Formats: sequence, C-alpha cells, structure tokens
Amino acid sequence: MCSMNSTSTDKTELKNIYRPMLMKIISIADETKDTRTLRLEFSDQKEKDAFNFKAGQFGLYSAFGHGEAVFCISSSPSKKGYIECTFKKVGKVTVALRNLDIGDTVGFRGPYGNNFPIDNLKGKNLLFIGGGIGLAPLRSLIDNVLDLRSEFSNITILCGARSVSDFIYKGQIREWESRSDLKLVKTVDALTSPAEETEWKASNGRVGLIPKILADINPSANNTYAIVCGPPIMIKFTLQELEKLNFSRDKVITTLENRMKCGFGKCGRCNIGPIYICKEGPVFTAEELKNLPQSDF
Amino acid sequence: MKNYQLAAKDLETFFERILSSNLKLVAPVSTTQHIANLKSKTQILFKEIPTKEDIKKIISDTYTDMSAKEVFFPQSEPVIEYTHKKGGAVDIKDVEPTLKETVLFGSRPCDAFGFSLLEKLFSWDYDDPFFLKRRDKTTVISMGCTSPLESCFCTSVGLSPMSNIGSDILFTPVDNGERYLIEVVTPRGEKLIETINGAVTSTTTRQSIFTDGNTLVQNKNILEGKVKEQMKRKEDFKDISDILKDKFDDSQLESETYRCLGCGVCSMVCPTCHCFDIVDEGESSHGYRMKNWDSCSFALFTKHGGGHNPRDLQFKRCRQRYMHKLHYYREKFADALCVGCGRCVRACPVNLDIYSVVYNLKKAYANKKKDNKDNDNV
Amino acid sequence: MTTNSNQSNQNANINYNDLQSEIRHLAKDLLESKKVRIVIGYGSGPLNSKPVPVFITDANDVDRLVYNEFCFNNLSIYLTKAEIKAKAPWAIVVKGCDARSVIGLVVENQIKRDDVFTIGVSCNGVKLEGNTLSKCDTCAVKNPSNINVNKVIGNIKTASSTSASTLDKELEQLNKMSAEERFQFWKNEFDRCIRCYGCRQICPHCFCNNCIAEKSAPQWISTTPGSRGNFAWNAIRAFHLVGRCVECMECSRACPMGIRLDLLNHYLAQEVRDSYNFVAGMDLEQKPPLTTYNLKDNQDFIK
Repeated sequence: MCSMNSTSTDKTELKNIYRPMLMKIISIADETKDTRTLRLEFSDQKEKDAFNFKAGQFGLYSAFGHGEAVFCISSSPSKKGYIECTFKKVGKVTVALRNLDIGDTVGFRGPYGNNFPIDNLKGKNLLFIGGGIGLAPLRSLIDNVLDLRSEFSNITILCGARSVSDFIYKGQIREWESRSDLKLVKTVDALTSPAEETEWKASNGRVGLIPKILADINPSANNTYAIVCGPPIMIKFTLQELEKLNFSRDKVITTLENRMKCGFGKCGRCNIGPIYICKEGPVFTAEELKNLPQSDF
Repeated sequence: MKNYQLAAKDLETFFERILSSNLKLVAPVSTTQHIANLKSKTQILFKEIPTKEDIKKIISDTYTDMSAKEVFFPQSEPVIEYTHKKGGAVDIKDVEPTLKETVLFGSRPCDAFGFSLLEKLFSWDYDDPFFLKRRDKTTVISMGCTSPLESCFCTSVGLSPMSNIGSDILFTPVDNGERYLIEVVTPRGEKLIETINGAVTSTTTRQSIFTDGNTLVQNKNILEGKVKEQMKRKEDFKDISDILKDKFDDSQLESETYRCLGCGVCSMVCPTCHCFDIVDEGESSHGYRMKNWDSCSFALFTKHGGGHNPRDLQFKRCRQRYMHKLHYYREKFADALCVGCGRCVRACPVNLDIYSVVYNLKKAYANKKKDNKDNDNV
Repeated sequence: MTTNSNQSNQNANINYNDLQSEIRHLAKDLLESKKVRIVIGYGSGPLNSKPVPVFITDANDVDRLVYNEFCFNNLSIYLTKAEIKAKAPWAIVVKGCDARSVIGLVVENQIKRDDVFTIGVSCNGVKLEGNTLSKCDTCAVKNPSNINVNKVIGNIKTASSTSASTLDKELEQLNKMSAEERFQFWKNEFDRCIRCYGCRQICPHCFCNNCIAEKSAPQWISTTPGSRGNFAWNAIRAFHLVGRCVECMECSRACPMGIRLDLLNHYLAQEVRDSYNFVAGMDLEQKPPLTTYNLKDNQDFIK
C-alpha cells in the first residue's frame, strides 16, 4: 500500500511539500452573504504550465499570516489557466481570505486526493445532487461533463439550499436551466415571504428537502450514476433515498470533507476508520462508505 | 555487520571523539532548573551536548521522560517563511531543516524502532523532507535495556529490550556493566565507528578505543533472555489488530477509556504519535508557517469550521488513538504504531494504560470466543 | 514537589481497609436507595501504586471501589465532564482537598449542591512514587468534618503543622529574588511547556467550554510551543484561577514537564489570602473575591 520511495532518493534533493504555490486573486464573486468564490491565477508561469488536476480534487488555500484551509477546486479542469474555490466564512482563515482583494496573493497547495471517475461516467445517465455549498465540488465535474457533453447520456441536476438566498452559483444555475440538454430541478427547504414564493414558483422552483424532492422526481436507476454532495445529514438521507430508488451502491458517488491540515496523509485528523479522506478520498462510492465505521462520520 | 567492544571507562573518550569529529551530540541529561535555591522537578531529556565539559552530564543508561522523536520531528518547526510586500504580494522562502551531522546517543531499542515506524509515515507517497533529511543526517546509537521498568512492554509488540531495528549502532552493557558490546547495524553506523577511530582528541591520538566484540555476543544473548524473563508485562499484542477491527462500536473500549480527560500528555511523550497542526506565526508583515505537534485527544482536533465534530466525545477520541496505533497503522504499514516504551502509561494523570486496555480486550474476546464455542457444543 | 516526611509513618495508623469497606457500604446504600445514579471513586489500577478513577452505577459493583494512600486523584474533575454531568445525582469520594473543589464548583454554579453526595475521607496525606505530596504538609482539611461534606469517613485528629511547608519555604525564596531573577525562573519553567494542556484538562476549575487558548477569532494565545505562547498560556491560566484555585495541585502532578505550577498556584493563593482574607473552596456562601464587587474591597493597589 505504501511506497517507500524515500529509501532510494537522495534526501538532500527532497522538495518542501509544505511550500504553497503563489496565486493572484483575479476575480471575486459573492455567492451568498457569507459564501464567496475566488478565481485564482498562478503567479509563476512554470507552475501554471505544469499544473493539472481532475474534478473532485482539493487543495489547501492560505492567507499568509493566518494559515491554511482546505476546499475543493470548484472550477472545471477543462477551464485552463485558473482555478476557483468557494468557501463559507467560518473561522480565522476564511475570514482572512475574505479580507483579501483582487490582485492580492493567496497560497495554494495541491491538487490532493482522488477524483470523480469521469471515464466510468461516459455513456451513462448522470444525476447530480447537491445541497448548499456541497454544489461546489459537483460544479467542477458538471462543467467538465458539459464541456464534453456528447460523451454522456441524460443529465439531471438536483440542487437545493436552505433558502433562495442561500444558493451558490445562482448565475450558473440559470445558465444550466436555460440549456435544453439537461434537466435542472431546484428546491429550497423553506421560503421566507409570499413575494419570494411567487417568484420561486414562477421559476419552477420547488419546496422541500432534497431526499423528498428526489423521491418526487423518481429518477430511473437504469444506466445511471448518482453523484451526491452536501452536508453530512443530507448525504445520509439522500443515500437512503437512492437505495429505495434501486440505485446500486457502487453507482452512487459522493465526496467527503473533514478537517485537514496537511492534505497528504500525515497530520492524522481526517480519517474515518482506517481511511484517510485526504489520501484515499475525498471521492467514495456509497459501497465504500458502507464499510467504514458509521459513528466516525 | 561488525561487533566491537568498548570498556565502560572509555565511554567518555568515545563522547569526546564524537565532539572532536565535529559532530553534534544529543544524549540524555538531567534537567533541573536551579535559581537561587529554587528548583524545578528533575527531568531526563535528550539535549545537545555542546562541549567537552558537558559530557559528564550525560546519563548513558536511563529512561527519558520525553522520547527522542523530537530530534527528527521537533515539537515545533518552521516549514516556510513569508513576507508581505506592497500591493498584496507575498514572498515565500523555504526553511531548511538544520542539517549538521548528528549522533543521537542513548535512545532505547523501543525508541529506535519508533523512528523506523515514523519513517514509513513520513515517506508515505509524499516525502516529508524535514523528518527524512534529519534522519538521514543522524546516527542513532541505542542503549540496550538491562533493567526495564514496571510499565515497559516492548516484548508485547514483538521487540526485545536489546533489539536493534531502527538503530544504526546498538550498545549493550555486559559483564555487569564493565564493557559494552557494540553491534553495528547499518553502514551509517560503521561509518561513525571509522570516524571515531580516526578522531584526534587531546588525550588519545588515532588509537582505536574499540576491540573485537564477537566474544561478547554470547553474553548478550544470555542477558537478553534473562531480562526478557524479568519483564512483568508480556501479553502479545499481535492479534489485537484483528480484535479491534470488530470492536469499533464495542462498549468495552468505551468503558476502558471512560476516565480519559482529554489532555495530550500521552501523545506528546509518545515516540510514535505523529499528528501535527499547521499554523502561521508572526507579525503582520513577516512570519513563519509552523508545523506543531498536535493530539487526537484534543476536542478541537477534528472539529469542522461549520461546527460538526466527527469525534465529539472523549471516548471517540480515545478510541481513535487506540485504533490508529493498534489497528489502522498495522493495516497500512504492517506494524502497530506502539513500541511498548510505557511513557504514556507513566505520564497519564488518570493512569490510563494502553497495555491493560489491550490486555482486558483480549481477555474479553477470548472469553467471548470460548462462550460461543460452548454454545456451539450445546 | 514531594517531601519525604515522617507522615508516612503516621499513615500506617490509618486503617485503609476500614475506610475502604465503609466507602463500599455507603456506595451500596446510595445506589440501592437510588439517591445517586453513579458513584465516582477509586478503583484498583493495572499498576499497584496507581489507583484509577472508577464509575460505579450498579450496587453489585461496589467492591470495585478501593481506598489507599495512593488515591491522589482529585475526582471532582469528572463532575464537570459532559458525559458524567448528564448522570446526576452523583456520589463522589473526596479527600478534604478534593471536597474544596466540589464546594468551589457549587459556589461558581457549575453543579448544584443537592446533586452531589460527598463521601469525605479522612486523609493524612497521599503518596506519589513513594513520597507524600508536598501539598499535604500544611493541609487544613485532613479531616473534612470542618468543611461541607455529606458524610465523613474515618477520624483523623487534625494536627496543625508546626513548621513552614516546603512550598512556603520555596515561596519565600521566590519572593527574595529580584524581579529579573523571578522572571527568568518562570520563563525557564514555561519554556519547557509542550502545550499538552494536561494542567487544564485535569483542573476541576478549568471548566470553560471554550478555552481562551482555543479561540482563534481573535487569537489571544499563540498555539505554537515557544516562549511567547507558553508564557501567555501559563500566565493567563494562572490569572484565571486566582481566588478560585483550591491548591489541589493536580495540574502540577499532571504536567509531564514538571513545571512548577504548584508554586505558582500557592503564590497566587497566598496573595488572595493576604489581600482579601479569602481561601477558596472552604465556604459555600463565599464567592471568589475577583468575581464579586464590594464597596469595602481593599483598594490599596490603586495608585
């Protein structure tokens, strides 16, 4: 399982794996009142040319002087030259990242972890289910898939948020809605005013928790992969619902997140049972998750 | 590899030659602070021996309070340096680990095995240059144990009080401590012996202080058998991994660890606990990104920014510590992440004892198996 | 930290078997009559000289309770742990020093007095690694009958100490130092801190859910082991315990680096006694002086 490559290499040549690459913020988008997307461009041309990632991978983003935080790369690998990350303001580092402006420097280490098995998805129907900020890792894959649209069969996106204002990627969701080659269903847990209700219903928005709406739209499991991401509680009930809809567990894919510091299996905190999310994840099938200790999630 | 012997009276000369060969020497010393008749508690720690005058402070055959892992993996170390420039730009620089050729003297066979376990982790696909470079520049000389402590259990994890895995050189006091058998374990160890033989000091000139040691091997083997026999804690940990595999949600592990208070003492004194935190330290314009020891016992260790904590109760954190050491690590790297040094047993303020936890789990499992068998017979 | 006094001989006069069986009887009664749901006491540990905290919920298990001269843990720490808190009412085996912690927790509204049944054991000093703890030198509550406990077990005539304790003598040394020397002394002590937070986790009075050492927005204390953060951490913890610490010295015992927290706590407790004539954990009716305001408070320090 482990590669002991260090025994053969000259130790003095070892690279500093904790050294981030420097990136410049080239645009900022406020998704909700506390969630923001940064678009980042490599400062160094060589690093830019050498950089490659796959949808589902993540990185450690740093505001120097404040520390590092882990987010997925939310832009598509098919969009070259930049990466995006979407994060909610929750603590010291995310607050510091929010305080940065266009042109400021951010550190990035990555990409780390495994990725969505995009090759296995080719020729299949795809059902994307994203709750809240969980839409971020899905967006990387959705955009990637849409850039190669002809290689996939029917595409359905079910996305939900607590309220209308809590949706991230509002512009992009409108864009997806306008496409004829995919079906988009959006839902909110609750509406806040009659005016909002009128507008929401007019745009074909639904009201209800994601597992319930999933049951309503009753997608066929035939030749279909479901790709799910959201808060832990949403994932739990959505996986149960998919099981009822006869999705086999190896065709249900999700991506997990835990607290991480290193990103490469050394700092010791992101494991669920024997599995390090940073190294052996973050993308898992429901079948793989079933074998992990449920009380460690 | 070769065996040598060294008369116990020549040990100081040995240390002198290490220093005169321009090597950094780290060895156990007693560290009591005295200021104006006030003293702190005595501790035995690995410290650098900077000058010849400090050699007499070395306690060559002792048990240290902290392990020697910090020689390779310090409590706190900078990994990059950053400087904020005008206009939101930032400059970063690598921080090179200090790389003077070092001799670590006086670690125990258990400690040395711990280094080899940590090396597996720190070279797991991503090579941690800080650990690996330091390990590469250090010659580890371990001291075999002739009187293990009550809390020691190295034989439980497949070691012996005189095993040499992870050491470059192993010293064993034989013939009632009159001389040491010196077993050279690695080429790095052999190189040190050559260097020392060639070193010039004020009192000796290029004269070997070592003689052939093969005649002592037999003495050591007899002694090793005796010392193993004396050890009180002998339960074999080999099958605990398989037992724990099925015990994740077992209530016994919870009751065994119920008294844990969630401090990090066990992790900090442990020669193999490797969890760390990464934080930025410094002024607004300039500072360092630090890699600091951390502990899975701490409540905040796994707490998400959003508030969810997968290990929200202390017993879950304890369970993680035991599972990681005794089961997960074994699955990934073939060995358990415990070397039986007993430091956590000695240091735990509520006397939580990994040996007795394993012992009790094994007993319970054996009884359960027996019960099942009895039931099958009915 | 420890002294070899002849108290160990006096301990020979205590019949630990009697104390132990009395504790077991009482625990059984309390559990059977459902007056308490859990008894927190000492059990035998894997190493003989180190009893361990045990939690008895079944009256049939009371024989797991032991009592001997090595019962140094202050078990009242468990009263503030979420898992145990949920199991009130509790009975708890306390020595006089530990009973002061329980009183302190009641005074600071962490637990309700009626939720806890204190089994106060007479004690002539406890031993750690063969030595009687130095805190026992001048203990004023060897027989806990003079403070608030539910039941006193054993009967030791409290012998008032005739000579200054080791700690008092050391404190005298400390006070004789120049400010620079004193600073250097504490800096050397705190420099060894490895931030394991053993002191905090074992302290019954460090009950904050969100410790200042863990706050990150803003971050008050650097979490990196090093002079700056270590000094801030140890000094801030000491200040937070002024007038609240009952000098059980568990922090000092827990510290794997041997930092002289006992001396620090003793110093601060003496300051509080001299300035406010207050000793923490002796009286259910008296609040710690720094948590209350009184017009008659000593104001000499305002200059």
